[in-house]
Formats: sequence, C-alpha cells, structure tokens
Amino acid sequence: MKQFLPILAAAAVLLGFGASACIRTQNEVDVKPIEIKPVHITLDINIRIEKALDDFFGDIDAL
Amino acid sequence: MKKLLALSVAALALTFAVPQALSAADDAATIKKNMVERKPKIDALKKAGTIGENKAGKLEVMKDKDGKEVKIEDADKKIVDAENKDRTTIYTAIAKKEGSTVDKVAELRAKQIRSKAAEGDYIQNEDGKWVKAPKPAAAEKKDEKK
Repeated sequence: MKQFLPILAAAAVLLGFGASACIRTQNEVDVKPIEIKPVHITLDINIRIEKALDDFFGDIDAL
Repeated sequence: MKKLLALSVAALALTFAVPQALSAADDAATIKKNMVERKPKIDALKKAGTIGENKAGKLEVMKDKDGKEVKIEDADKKIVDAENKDRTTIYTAIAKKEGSTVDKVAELRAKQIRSKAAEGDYIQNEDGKWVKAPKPAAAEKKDEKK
C-alpha cells in the first residue's frame, strides 16, 4: 500500500494542474466577447446615422 | 365604465401623438424644401470662396489673412444662418432617433460633405485645417474612363 501512496499523490497533483488549466481556458473564452461588443455597437450606430443622413440629404447633395 | 375610460385614454393619447408625428414629418419636409431652394445661392457662395464647409457639418464664412471674416451681404449671411439652423435641427432629430449625440451626427455629416465637395470649395479637415477640396473621387473615375 505504501508503494502506491507517492503515485496517488502525484496523480492528485497532476489532476489539480489539469483542473486549473481548464478554468483558465474558460476565463479567456468569457472575456473576448465583452471586449469586442462595444466596437460592433459603435460601428452599427455610425452606419445607421450615415444611412439616416443619406436618406435626408441624399437628394439635396445630388442636385 | 372601464371600457369608456380606456377609450377616453386612447383618444386622448391619439390627440397628442398623431399631430406630433405629423408635425415632425411636416417640419422635415419644410426644412428639405427650404434647403433645396437655398442650394444654388450656397453653391455660388462656395464657388466664390466666401463660405466653406466646416468640420461640424455647418457652413462657415471664410476668414482673410488677418483672421477677419470675409465681407458678405446681409441677405447671404441670413441664408447661411438659416441653413445652419436647419442642419442643426436635422442633426438633433437624427441623434435623438439613433440614440447618439448631435456632435457625432454632425461629425459624420461633415465627413460626407468632404467626400462630395466640389473641386475648389473650401472644406475643413478633422484636424481643423482649411483646404480646397480636390476633384471628387467619382469624377476622377469618370475622367479615367474617357
């Protein structure tokens, strides 16, 4: 039984590393969309504003 | 009784909402009509180098070397002021509708104006520098085809 103790301890340590590595990967996935979202919203608003401007001034500019 | 009350509330809401919506559309149509009427005079003033398009999407009387405004007829100044007032109204309405700021709308309009400006008209770049507009990109492409 004593022979297996170091092996069990090593296995437990390795499992610990494995689990912490999994948590880190999940954190990265969670963070990315939060960083990108505002850029999309800004672009979307700018496009909508440009379209509204075109709708109103388009005819006048073309004269 | 409850039905009557609900109908009264709905009627009251329509009484205020419909004229407001109609009034906004009427205002926009009137502003557009006025802008179309003013355009030939504004174009002439731009061609003469008396006025230019600034980075806030508005017309501005140009300044001479001493920093003084170029002389402009009172009637022409009134046209410039009326045009700027109407532009502000439209920028404000768009900003409100799109959940943005008037400055942002004006900035994007200034960008559009710069890209469409006739060759030689004064335009103010984003950095505040006044320059003469180059030949529009669309016109250059037409020339290349000839």
